[in-house]
Amino acid sequence: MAQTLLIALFLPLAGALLLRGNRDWMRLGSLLVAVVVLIAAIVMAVRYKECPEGGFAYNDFTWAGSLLDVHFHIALDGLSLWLFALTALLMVVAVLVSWEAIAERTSLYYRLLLILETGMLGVFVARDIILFYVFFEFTLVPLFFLIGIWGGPERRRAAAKFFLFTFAGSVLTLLGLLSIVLWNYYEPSVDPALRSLTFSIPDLTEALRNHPMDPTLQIWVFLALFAGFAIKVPLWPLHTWLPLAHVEAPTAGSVILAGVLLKVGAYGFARFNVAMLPQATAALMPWLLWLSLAGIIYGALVALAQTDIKRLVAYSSVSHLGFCMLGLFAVNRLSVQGSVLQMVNHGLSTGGLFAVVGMLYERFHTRQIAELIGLARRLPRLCFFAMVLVLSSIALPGLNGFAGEFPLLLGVFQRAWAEPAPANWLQLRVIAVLSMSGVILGAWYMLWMYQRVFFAKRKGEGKAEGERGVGKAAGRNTIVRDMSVREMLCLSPLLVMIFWIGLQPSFFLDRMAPTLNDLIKPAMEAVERQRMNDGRSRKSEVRNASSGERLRISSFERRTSP
Amino acid sequence: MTRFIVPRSKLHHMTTATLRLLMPEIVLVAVAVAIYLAGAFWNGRRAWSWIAGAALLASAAILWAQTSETDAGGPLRIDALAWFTRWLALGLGALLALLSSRPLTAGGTSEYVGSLLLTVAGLMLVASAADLVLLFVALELISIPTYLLLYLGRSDVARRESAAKYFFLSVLSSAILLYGFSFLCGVAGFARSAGTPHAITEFAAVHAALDGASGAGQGIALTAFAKLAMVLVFAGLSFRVTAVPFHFYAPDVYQGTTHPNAALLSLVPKAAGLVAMVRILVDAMPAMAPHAWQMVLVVSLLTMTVANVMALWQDDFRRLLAYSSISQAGYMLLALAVALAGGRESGEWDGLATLWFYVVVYALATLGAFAIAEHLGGPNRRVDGIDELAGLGRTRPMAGAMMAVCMLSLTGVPPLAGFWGKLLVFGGALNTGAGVVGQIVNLPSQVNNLPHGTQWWFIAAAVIGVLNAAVAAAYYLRVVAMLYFRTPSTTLRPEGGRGPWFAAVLCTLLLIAAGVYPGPLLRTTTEAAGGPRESTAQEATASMPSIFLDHL
Repeated sequence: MAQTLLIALFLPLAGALLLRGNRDWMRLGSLLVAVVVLIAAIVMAVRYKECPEGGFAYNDFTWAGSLLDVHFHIALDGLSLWLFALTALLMVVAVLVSWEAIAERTSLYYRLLLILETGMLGVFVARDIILFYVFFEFTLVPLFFLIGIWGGPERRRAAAKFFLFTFAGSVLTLLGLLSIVLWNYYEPSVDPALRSLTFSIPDLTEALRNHPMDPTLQIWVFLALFAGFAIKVPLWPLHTWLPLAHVEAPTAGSVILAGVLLKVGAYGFARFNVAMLPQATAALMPWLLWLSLAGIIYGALVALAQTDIKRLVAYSSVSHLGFCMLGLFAVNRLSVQGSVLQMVNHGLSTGGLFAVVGMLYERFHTRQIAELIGLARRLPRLCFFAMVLVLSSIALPGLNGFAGEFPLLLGVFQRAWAEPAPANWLQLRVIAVLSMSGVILGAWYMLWMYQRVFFAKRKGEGKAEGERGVGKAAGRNTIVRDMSVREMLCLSPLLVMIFWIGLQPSFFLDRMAPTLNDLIKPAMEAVERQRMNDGRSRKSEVRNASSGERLRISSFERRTSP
Repeated sequence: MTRFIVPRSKLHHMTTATLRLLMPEIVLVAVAVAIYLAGAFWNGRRAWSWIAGAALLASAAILWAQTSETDAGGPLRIDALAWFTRWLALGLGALLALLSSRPLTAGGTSEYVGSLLLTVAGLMLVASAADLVLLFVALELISIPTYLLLYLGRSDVARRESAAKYFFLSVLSSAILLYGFSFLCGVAGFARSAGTPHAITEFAAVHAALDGASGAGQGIALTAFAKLAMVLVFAGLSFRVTAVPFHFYAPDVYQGTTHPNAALLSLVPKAAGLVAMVRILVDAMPAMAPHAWQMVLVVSLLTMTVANVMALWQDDFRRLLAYSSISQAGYMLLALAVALAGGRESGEWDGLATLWFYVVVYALATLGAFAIAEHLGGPNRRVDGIDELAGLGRTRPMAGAMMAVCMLSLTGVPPLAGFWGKLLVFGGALNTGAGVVGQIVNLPSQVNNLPHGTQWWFIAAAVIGVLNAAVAAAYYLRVVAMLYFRTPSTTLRPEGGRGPWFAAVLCTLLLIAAGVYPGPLLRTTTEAAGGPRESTAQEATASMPSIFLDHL
């Protein structure tokens, strides 16, 4: 199985280097590579439970020579398994979406796409900090070219903004990662003679669990890591690069950017911030939750105001990723599992929606909602596919969105109503309650968009068409064909997964739960400890409190006592 | 009171053994002189480049045959660094010869090629010198042919300005350097009175004098002199390294000259300056390291910040690369500061190994970029503006891809070699600052013995450094965006010949290879740094009164 992992990782790169020929050969070859990688991912996902603890691993040779003990160490565990599979799946979608849309410089295009696949898969499987960072940064380059060459009218600005924003953040992340390594190296409890400079992520996680980093330092390192990951996610005030990049990117670029690359940031938070810096996570929890909440509501409100579908979907990503981060930073078993599942769900539904937007654009050359009115009758198949994706996005029970969002929010509420209540209980409860509004707003903007695009009646049919230009592109006389077989093939794997996750979430949660529970254990303990301390200090306050207050608190104590 | 006396025994050192050690340099100089002379009688054109190539090969063969590392004593020291630098010089020389293999239209090709060989020999000598006089002569062996090169490369008004500017500033810097050397000789004179066997111009004498200085009376005077010398020498060498505030000439000179000349200016004097800095600051006066690292660190941060900000507004290709080379010098100086502050004690993050690694990686990327630009030009036209590269990725896919690789490597994007350079520099700075962590958690500071609180400087340097890397990405990416995102405006006819093309291919392949598997290069540079050298700041902090530090 370890060999399967290695092959799946490097097959796209080999394809990028070896494939050549005209457009037909390139796209066929890329599709073949993407499908093979997908099959490998499915095989590994199905057989995941057979593998030894720590997942499929491949750890072979020292990479950087004698000076730095950087290893080429890759492995799949519960956290990376589904993100790996998601990447493989979305790459098939991306190739199929580009089938007709990309007409010029195709050979370069498909090569970049395949190189990007290796980069993204590598991020999720790397088990060495430097290897992780290499893949993490490397994903920027192909996407930079994909946006800048095949993007929309503002592509140059979008590509530069995307690269510079993320690069600026990730160099600070590098400092954070190196600080972790150095902290472990200079750890006082280790005999100086036995010191070794390790870059191995499992070793470091283990070591930091045994002797946690100094709390003050944890905060600084957390913030350094935060700089890169939060821009990537993107968390609320750092999201400004995202709408531009999404709107200008070619369809496949948007699918991959939303589907996979945003998760790279979330993955980094889970793998490093939460797992390695538990006390900082606990200490900063309210701040992080507020930021996530701001993203949820801000993204949803801005999405509501959009007239361009692609921008709308882009802002909906900000909102959905806010949910993922809310779940992750609530550090509760349920919420974290929901959060990781929601990352996958968001990739499926939003990736699919971007593909739908691309298909609409190919037909009508516009993305304005006002110009795309009432398409259901003319594009019934597309209407159906879009419906499932929209419903998945708004978390209809029975579809994947619900399977992720429900445990996520449940976990957040558990965290907020935990007893004895922590000192910041009011904040947590307000956040939990307000986050529900994101669900409602999400349904609002998505369904409203869907209704307008597919079912709305044009005002003053016929007359208005020529005069005001509204609905011109989608005018009745234009002959538009419905989805082709290729397009249906492109979206149906997403639909299969949407229903599968929705109907049998346990298949997915079971495989990720052990790893996640283990990863967040220190952070959970840190939060619990903080809460207990708060509770204890409150009890000591009780003794000095006035009688009225004593009454309230004693009732609280009665409730909590077993 | 300083006695300029060379002991009698030293005079006999110019034996055949010494000559044999210097044979690679001697071959180069001899061939250069022969080319100068023959050029008066024969217009060899292309043949000169072949002869130069043959001379470099012969020199390499002789160097290859000299397997043993010998400390010949006297003015020569052939240690690991010298070996590394000599090979580096030959490699750079070969690439530069390829780069300038197209004969000059206005004549003077023989002089051009001869001067190139002399600068290579100069760089090799800089690394082998263990004596102030020899070091100065070696540095001048680089400078003087460079004046000629600058004048020969082009035949318009701009070259006159560029050559004159370089000439005057270079002479000024040499004067400052020499003034610094005179103070060093003065310091070394104290050691003579203490009875060392070394001549006052030898590094060893300076070392002995500073080691022997005690805290009181004479010691304080000696320290004051040594500090003055240190600052003057650093200033003189900063011109060659293009460190702020001695960088002013670089953009103008680069702009006013040819691509091969600009490549040479951004590599050979810089490497020579860095080697000389290491020789003097690290080897000759380790006792001054506690002062030296502060100076180097501040200059390094200024250099990278000023250059990166200025580079954002450049539209001329060579001007942009001039600012790029200044900013990269900042990172190199940061590595030097780490080495001076004792970062080399912790093995994995050896400041000097990082420095040499960075120099190699920078040299490859810069040479590659200039080589492609030279290839795209022709006898009658030169690529000047960045916008002339528009659409290169489409019209010349190979040239575009190679230029992109060079730019991305300079940016520090993995998996190219530049990434490892940046990783080592910032890792080294953080590691040196790691003692701070010890202070936070009340460890006995095991990392290094830097004075309390000063390690914050290195943490700050790492942060400023990475932010600079992010700023630098903006202008490197501008070039990449120009290559791929613009429609071609002018049709470039690559008439630069096969030499630059071959150099560019070589550089690009090496950048990718060293990026994907950095092990071998890392080992080589670690060996280069691991010469017999005493540790720096550690012992010195204890013994020296740190007047400089108290003022920080």
